[in-house]
Amino acid sequence: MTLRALAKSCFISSLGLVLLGLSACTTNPQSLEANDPLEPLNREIYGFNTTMDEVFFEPASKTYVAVTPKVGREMVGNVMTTLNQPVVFANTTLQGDFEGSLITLARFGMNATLGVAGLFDVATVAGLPERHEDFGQTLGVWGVESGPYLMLPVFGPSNLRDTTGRFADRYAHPLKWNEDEPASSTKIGIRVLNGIHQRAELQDAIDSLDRTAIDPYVQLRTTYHQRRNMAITNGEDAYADLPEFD
Amino acid sequence: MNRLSLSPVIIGLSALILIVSSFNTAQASSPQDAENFVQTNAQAVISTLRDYRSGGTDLSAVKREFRQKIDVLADVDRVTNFVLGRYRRSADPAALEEFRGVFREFAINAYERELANYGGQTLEVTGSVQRGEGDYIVNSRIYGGPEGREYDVKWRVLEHNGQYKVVDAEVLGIWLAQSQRDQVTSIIGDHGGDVSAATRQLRNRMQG
Repeated sequence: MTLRALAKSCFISSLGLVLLGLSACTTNPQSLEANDPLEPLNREIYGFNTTMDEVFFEPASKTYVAVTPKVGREMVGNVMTTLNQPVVFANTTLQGDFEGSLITLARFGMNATLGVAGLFDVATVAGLPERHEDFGQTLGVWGVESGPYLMLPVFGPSNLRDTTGRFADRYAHPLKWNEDEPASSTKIGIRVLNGIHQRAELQDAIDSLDRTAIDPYVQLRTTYHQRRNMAITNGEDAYADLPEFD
Repeated sequence: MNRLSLSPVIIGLSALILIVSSFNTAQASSPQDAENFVQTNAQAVISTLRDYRSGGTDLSAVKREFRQKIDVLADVDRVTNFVLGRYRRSADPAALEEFRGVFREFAINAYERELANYGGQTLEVTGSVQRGEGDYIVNSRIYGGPEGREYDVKWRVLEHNGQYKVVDAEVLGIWLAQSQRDQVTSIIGDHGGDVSAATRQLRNRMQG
């Protein structure tokens, strides 16, 4: 797929989400201030996601944790991280972070070979730290504003920029490299396992949300906003925008 | 001597440190002082919660001790004013007073539940950044739990008249007080500036 076709595909997908939400726009000043003009629709989707999580995802992730030893879960995480390194490489390069690209390339090569197809994270032991970059962050580095906050069905919190990035990143992932090849049960299995693993990794954060939230929807929105800003700036000037306590 | 019987000594020492530091207002604050403050007082809070986590026999005593230590560590009244945002100046005084009482209870309960996860673990201050005069970010890591995980926690420490107090903490990448302010002001704004709507929501969450 050409870059032009990719961009068109991403734009149309994102535009569809926005058009879907236009009918549910709010004029509530609090929602607009939080860059959440679709709050009524987003809250509905949040409710749907919460139910789905209670019924399917949380039980699945707890079963996964119960039946998989810690070392096994670490291996699953390592394999998924290794598979994602081409995505990270593409984005560090697009951000002009060539040192990050070299480290990511070296990580990929080292873990895919010495690490036995990514099962072991020998690169971190060798002093090559993992980077977390995606196309949403790349757009942020390029100066693209986040756009309205979006609650995606199943996938959870996002915004227009990061949703666009999510579509784009699919094309750099090895599971998508051969788009003529139909989705095999192996590919689907890897995606499902990745989803369950990611959900299990989020358990601490979700528990913390439950313990401390006054309005869980707003807490999740704030959390997403804070974490994405931190990811885009890579922690540089992380304390510049902290509020004053009068 | 068990740990709880040491508590009057620890509290006495903490009070003595605070009294001594309050006489020392002419001396400029320093990042090292902020780090020492967090190391001593945040560790004290976490140590207190060891029994809370393990379901110790005298939980009410543990909770009392926790609340005393939280008041040494954190400026809960200042956090309460902060989370009200712009509504602090325009709201009905009686509604504000009620909110303050309920939020204080909610916040301490939330800290209790949140920090109980780290009960009995070790806090190690790893450095600090000075944002401005008397305004510090103290970095720490907490480790030693049964699952062998490590957590990075950042503490926003403000110094006033020689006294240090935590006003915000970043846990799992989230600044708690900032997040609470977004939630409280969102609820009040959704109800036309009615602070008592946030008070009701806080009560609901505590009961839930």
